[in-house]
Amino acid sequence: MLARYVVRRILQLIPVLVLVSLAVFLLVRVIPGDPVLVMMGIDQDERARITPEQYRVLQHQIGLDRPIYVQYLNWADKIVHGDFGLSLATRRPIVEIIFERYPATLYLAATALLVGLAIAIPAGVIAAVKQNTKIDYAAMGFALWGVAMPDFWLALMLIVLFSLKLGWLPSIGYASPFDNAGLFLQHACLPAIVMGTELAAPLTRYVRAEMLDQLRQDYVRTAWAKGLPSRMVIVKHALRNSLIAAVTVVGLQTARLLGGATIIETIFSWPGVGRLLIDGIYQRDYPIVQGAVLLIAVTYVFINLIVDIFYKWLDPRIKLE
Amino acid sequence: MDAPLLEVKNLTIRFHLQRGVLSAVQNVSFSLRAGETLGIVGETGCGKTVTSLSILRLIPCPPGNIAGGEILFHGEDLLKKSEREIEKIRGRKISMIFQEPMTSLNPSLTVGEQISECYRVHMGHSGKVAREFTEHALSLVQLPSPQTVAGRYPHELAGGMRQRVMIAMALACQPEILIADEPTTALDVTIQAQILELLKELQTKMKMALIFISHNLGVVARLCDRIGVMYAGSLVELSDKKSLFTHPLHPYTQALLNAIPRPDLRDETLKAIPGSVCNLFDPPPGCKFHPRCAKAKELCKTEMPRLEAKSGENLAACYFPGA
Amino acid sequence: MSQETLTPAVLTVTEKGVSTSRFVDALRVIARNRLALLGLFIVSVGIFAAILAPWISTHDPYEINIAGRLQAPSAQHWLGTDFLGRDTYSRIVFGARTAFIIAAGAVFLGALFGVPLGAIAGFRGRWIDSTIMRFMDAIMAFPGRLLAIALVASAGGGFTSLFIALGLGAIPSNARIVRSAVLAQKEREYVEAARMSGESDFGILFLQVLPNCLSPLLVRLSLEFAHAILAESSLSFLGLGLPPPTPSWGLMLKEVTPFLQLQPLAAFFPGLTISLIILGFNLLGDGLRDIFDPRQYER
Repeated sequence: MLARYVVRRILQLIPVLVLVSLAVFLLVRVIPGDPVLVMMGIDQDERARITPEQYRVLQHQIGLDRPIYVQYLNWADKIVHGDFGLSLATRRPIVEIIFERYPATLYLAATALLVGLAIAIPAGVIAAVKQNTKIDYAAMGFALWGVAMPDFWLALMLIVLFSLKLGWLPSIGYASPFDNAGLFLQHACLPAIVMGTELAAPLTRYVRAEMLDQLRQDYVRTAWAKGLPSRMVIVKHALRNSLIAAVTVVGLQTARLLGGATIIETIFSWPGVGRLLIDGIYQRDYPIVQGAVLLIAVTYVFINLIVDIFYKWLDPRIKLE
Repeated sequence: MDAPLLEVKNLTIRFHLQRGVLSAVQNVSFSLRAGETLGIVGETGCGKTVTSLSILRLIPCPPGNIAGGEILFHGEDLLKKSEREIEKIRGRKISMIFQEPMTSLNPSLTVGEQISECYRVHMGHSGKVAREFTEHALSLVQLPSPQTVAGRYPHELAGGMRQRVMIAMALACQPEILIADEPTTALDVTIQAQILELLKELQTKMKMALIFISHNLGVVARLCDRIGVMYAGSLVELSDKKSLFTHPLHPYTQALLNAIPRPDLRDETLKAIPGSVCNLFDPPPGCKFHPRCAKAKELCKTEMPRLEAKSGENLAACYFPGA
Repeated sequence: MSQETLTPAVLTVTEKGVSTSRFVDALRVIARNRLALLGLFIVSVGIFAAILAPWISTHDPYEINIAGRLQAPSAQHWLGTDFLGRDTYSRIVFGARTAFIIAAGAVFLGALFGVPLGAIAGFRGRWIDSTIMRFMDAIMAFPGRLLAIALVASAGGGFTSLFIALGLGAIPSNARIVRSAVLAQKEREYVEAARMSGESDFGILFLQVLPNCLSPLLVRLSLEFAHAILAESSLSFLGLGLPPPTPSWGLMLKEVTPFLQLQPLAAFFPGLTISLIILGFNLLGDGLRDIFDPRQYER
């Protein structure tokens, strides 16, 4: 049953992926000005720099002299075969550059995810169990304020406090967790807290609401009536069912995480795809921009796929439908 | 005669809600001897469920508040016990089964897991031993192939099977008292009969006392030795089964009996009770049944009657009991 | 502790049936919901600041004074000065104009396209529905901020491209909300009645069905507003939004970031303002949801 669902879900992905790639393809076409010059990183007023002959050669090289759907199909065909073109700035293959950066983004996102879950689940559960007490209000305050706070501002304020004033943590830099785990954690600490807070704030609220709902269910009353100790009733019975529902929210919040990575990576000089994207924009290196945007979007689509499948697998009731 | 196993004395429960204070249970007293079956009947909202939940201290406080009374189990007041102590009684000495077997089981745990955790928590059995006991419990409630059932999730079972699972779970630790709150209401009539039969059989086998709560006098009559009738939060009559049906003491009991369709009296029309249940936020003074009672006198409108012996051991809370 | 968690079925029966008129109920919910009132207050302050900016500011937001740069708050400069000595308070007040204009434009665009698309998808169903919704899925496949960044990166900064970049991102959520609301309304009897009386599908949809979908949309728009303000400041912070010297909260943050060590307060106040305004819209949106969500009454 699950296998059939997975297949159906993957089939549904195909049109989405096609549209995503189309959007990324068109991205460069909507840039004001001549796409040939844009793709070559030449300013409009520098047009005179190249002769009409050179221009035609370039146009042909990029394939811009063909109809747009042919251009798209050619482009998509190359992408599928792992050819994202060359970076304008460094003339290196883009596929190399982005996959060099990709692990850093994934490590940071995973660390942030752990931080977020480590905050949100206990906070949400305690807030629900102690509903309408000071602990509950504190957790809800955190949730409301955490959603409202821009992540880049939180990042700056944490840098001011922990790097500039206290000098405890570095504000920039990176080490791979597999080369030097301690150094990685030091550098990942602040960005992961920022992104983890972004994730935890809405999730805390969700876990609390879900827990409150579950604690009112008949089966929880049964668990109490069985004489189970309260921790077992709360964690094994109520939390288990709350988390099943929370899985989808975690999936959605990962979107925020990946989108947020662009700014956070830039602030903390984290060598990930997000910062690559922003640098690409600053340097008008559009092929890089295309590649980075496509990679993040596809990552997001696949994370959602995994979350959906995970959700089906977790909830025994849905499995049979 | 032995000392009663369970004694509820002057139990009063209120709920503090936004609309005001709701008196859910007022001055309810009854006792239960070992191995006895006590039925409690009454309309929805009459306080029978709240009373039964309060025995296991399962009333949410707040908004609930046990304003007074005692619940003595082996002479010890359950209301004074610590949370720890009451956890050792719940499911071990006193168990409960509920109306909706579907929602009363955890949807995301297998049936076997939900039963075996009782053995692990109360008896300290290991996982393997608990699993064996679980299968035994499932066979006790006459479920075919207990091993397969143990691996199922609640939604994979039919309604009657789920209620059997609930019973197996409640009886896992061989409690002294089983409280069954409308256990058959959500089931088909044929399955109802099977479940009642099973309960009766297991009760005799395990020599436990049973408190059976229902809005259906007929169902209660099939199972119980003594029957208590509740109206608007008060116990209005407590009689043995035979006297209750032949010589009901309280006018409300009489009215209830008249409202039961009887195949032997085809011509007689059913008599609905006039009026409706009083507002529990603002109950009338005196006997709460007096606005609907044909026999009400001035005294009934001012003074609340106490539950007293009126005929032998049969009790009623009425100034003018009997036919 | 164990006992706080259960609600006996008895209570739900007795608590029901309190409804008077919907409007009175709504007022009652607002009054009871102090957080929603707080949200309304914050949002109103923001709107008034935006409208009255020239009158309530203390300085010209563009006036440069290098000698008095990166000052701490004082009687002269209530919230201090930025790296060019411009008055932070006045720039925040004028920044409210920028934020609200862009957010309003983006929310309007999102609704302008999202509502009809969602309505048609929900009302027509079949292949129209799945085509429209697949397109929405594709837009939503770009995690929030990424879409805006990518669009602004290609279309360039400035008001118009911000409207478009932020508005486009708001289309799918509007479409989804309206679609599900229309799906729920579609089966109602009044739609059947209108159809019997020979009204056109278009007329039924826009004159009968849509007005009944307004409440979830209103909640959505309030949250969308918060979203747009955050997105604008994010883009400006990255230097992809409005060009300097426009007073924009995000840009203000960007400009003083190199001077964090010297004067952290210069970064503190603009960010605090963004947080408060977003908090306000979120609280208001939550409050509106409490009012409109019919489940509230059944509780």
